[in-house]
Amino acid sequence: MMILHDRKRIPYKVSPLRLTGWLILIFFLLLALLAPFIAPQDPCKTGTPYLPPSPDHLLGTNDIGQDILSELIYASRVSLAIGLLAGFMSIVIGVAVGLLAGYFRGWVEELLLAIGDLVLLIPGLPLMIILAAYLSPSMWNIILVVGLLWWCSTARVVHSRVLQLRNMPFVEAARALGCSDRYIILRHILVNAKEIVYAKFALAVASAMLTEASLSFIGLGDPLNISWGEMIHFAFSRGGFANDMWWWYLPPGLLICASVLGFVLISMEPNSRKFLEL
Amino acid sequence: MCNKGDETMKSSLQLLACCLILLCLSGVGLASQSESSGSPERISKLTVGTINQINEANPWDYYFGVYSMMLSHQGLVRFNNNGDVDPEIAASWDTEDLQTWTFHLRDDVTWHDGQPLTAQDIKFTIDYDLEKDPLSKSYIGTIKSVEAPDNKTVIITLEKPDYNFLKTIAVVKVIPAHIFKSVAEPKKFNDREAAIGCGPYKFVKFDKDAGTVTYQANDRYWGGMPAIDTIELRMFKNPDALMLAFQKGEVDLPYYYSKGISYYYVPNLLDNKDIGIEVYPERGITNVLWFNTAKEPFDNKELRSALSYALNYEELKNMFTAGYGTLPSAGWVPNGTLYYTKTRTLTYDANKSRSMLDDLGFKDVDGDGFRETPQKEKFQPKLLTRSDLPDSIRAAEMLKKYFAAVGIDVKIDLADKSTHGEILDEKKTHEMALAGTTFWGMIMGEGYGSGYTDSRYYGWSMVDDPEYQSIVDSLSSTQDKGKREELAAKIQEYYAEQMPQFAVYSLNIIQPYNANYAGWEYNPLHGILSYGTLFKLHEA
Repeated sequence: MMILHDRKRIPYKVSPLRLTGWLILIFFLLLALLAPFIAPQDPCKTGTPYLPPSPDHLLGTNDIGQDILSELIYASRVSLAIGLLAGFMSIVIGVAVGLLAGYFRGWVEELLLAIGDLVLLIPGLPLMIILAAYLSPSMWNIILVVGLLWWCSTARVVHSRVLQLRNMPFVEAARALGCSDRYIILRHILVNAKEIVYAKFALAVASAMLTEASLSFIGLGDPLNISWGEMIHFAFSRGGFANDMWWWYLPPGLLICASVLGFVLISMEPNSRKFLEL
Repeated sequence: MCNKGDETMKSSLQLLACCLILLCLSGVGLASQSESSGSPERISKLTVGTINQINEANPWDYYFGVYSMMLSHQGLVRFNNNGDVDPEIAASWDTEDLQTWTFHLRDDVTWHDGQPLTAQDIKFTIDYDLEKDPLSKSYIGTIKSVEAPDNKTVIITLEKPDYNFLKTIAVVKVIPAHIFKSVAEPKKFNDREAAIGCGPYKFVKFDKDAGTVTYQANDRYWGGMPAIDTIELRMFKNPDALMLAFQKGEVDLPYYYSKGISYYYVPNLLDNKDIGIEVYPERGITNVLWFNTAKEPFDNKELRSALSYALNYEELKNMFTAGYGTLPSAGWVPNGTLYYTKTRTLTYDANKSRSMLDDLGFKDVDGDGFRETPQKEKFQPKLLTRSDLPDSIRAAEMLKKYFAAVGIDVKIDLADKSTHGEILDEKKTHEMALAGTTFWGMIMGEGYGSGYTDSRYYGWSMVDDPEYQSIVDSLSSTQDKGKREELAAKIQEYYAEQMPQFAVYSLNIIQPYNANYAGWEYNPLHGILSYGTLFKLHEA
């Protein structure tokens, strides 16, 4: 196995932006994992609705009297789970397509890239809206819809990287030594494309979280698994906006921004500080 | 060069400013011209905001059909503000045996395209509805034949006497035979002609992208010119967005068919002097828990009764109606219904619910905290509700919580409006459902909610019990007021005893409106967008 390093880069130096991103993500991961210990109340417990912030309910209560702070903490689990799973699915598909297309070239490349182009041609969000409306509102359907439609850009970037790598001397050497295609792809090509994969994964999670929030906001999410997007949806459809209950709709919006920012920051290249294209 | 460029730019800007001023002045002139064109009493435009979603300008689209019935289409008779029927296209009618009904039509009714409306149009409409729309059999399926001996007389013969027939026929909107006779699939006929009616308003356009439907006053309407020149329906996806637009004055009337607004919008509206609010009693029921009594184990009245004790009605009332609702009664039909009988108020008693479930053999045998069936099988009934109604989703969540507290693991099954309707009206695959009823829904069939209950009609709770159906049949054929009162009491006692469905909560109709206009009239079928409002609305 040979791993290429860019000489200009300092391998283990973490940029302040990436560090900030990691800190944000660690905060949210801890929030999600430790929700039962952090949340002041059971988020399902109902009581007096529409209470403003008070010492008993720091962010007030929602339309069915649930503690908004507790709901916010528990909703991080759903939002992150949807983002991570949808991101993972899109990455698996995108990496597989990119690797196969770039390595084998010929008709495999043409076919896979044509499928990718076809999916890219379809406007993403409208198609997701149609699919989400057609399928029943469920968290798993959202993951499926986002995961199946967000892989194309990953496939293209990985494909370009593989085209660079496939003709490099160490790959040719491996081929000359009689290594199988599978071995070369997994042990030489994929390993050297991992930086791109990590970055695209982080961006895919951020995109998935934003998409989920958008779908939930317009009422196409899963109302039985409350995510941050669903919290805003209920605030927007049950009097939160009309009565200016900022403590209900603003915190989930801020948390969506912060978590997406966290994922985007960790995908930034340490030295050039440029974003990879979505 | 530089100076010359500046001068050129300066003169261009001056020219642009002059154009803008002229444009503004001409706009003001035009606006004042349009304001002054009508009489001072008339309202040039009424903007109605709604969350009812119209998908096509086709009378078979549910909500377009609802608004057509209010504005552009008419029936033989119409509901008046007391919930009784008044003449509409039919000037009079007579029947001797409640089975053969003869209607005498007005002779001055014309379609919006100028063609006269004749008895042939009525015959065509009923025959066409029964042929093309399978659901119409659920309410006019007992019509045996329709005859039109001359242009102004219609004779409708029923398969059996029907006391309630006038109320049933009131919702059949007449369509023009000369347009629809060549249309094989009316649900796909979205041509502009599909919206031609004979009512006080003419359909002008449906802008799907902008979410607006426009109607124009029909100056040839037989009942005279209505009071509003143009009515624009603006569809909102979300009630908060609608209420914000209403508070900003962009909408004159927030309107939902057969419903009012939610109580939590009221405090903000009270502070606004341009907004008036009226509260009317709900003649339907906001949310009802339905059991499919044709399916095990919901065919067991003891189980239905046990489940009724699991719900905390006081909490539901506070949460979903605040001070604008009442605790539901076991007799189900809403207070205000003719011959309403007082029955026991539904009460919350979780211990009683648990002990009844124990006695029925529903016990937790595998220790997971949820009960299994008496046959030791997993018991996870599905509760169907609409995915597009946040209030219903929240109410379903509350029900799931209550049922979990007595050991029943309910699975909430969300469906969009059309799928939900398909399941309840046609497929009948539901186990439990949470859905509201409308004023007309409660009086369809033979009244007292029989249309929703009796399996021979829509039958959401699929009751085919001969005892119940004999009460319904007696209501159909009895004219004597004393006997009808007895039958009404009997059917409400049946509901209280058997509980094929029960009310979860009911919110009164809270109706805000633009207080700069006066003359609003409320009708139990169409609410504040009533026939009276269309003719009496004026500047306050």
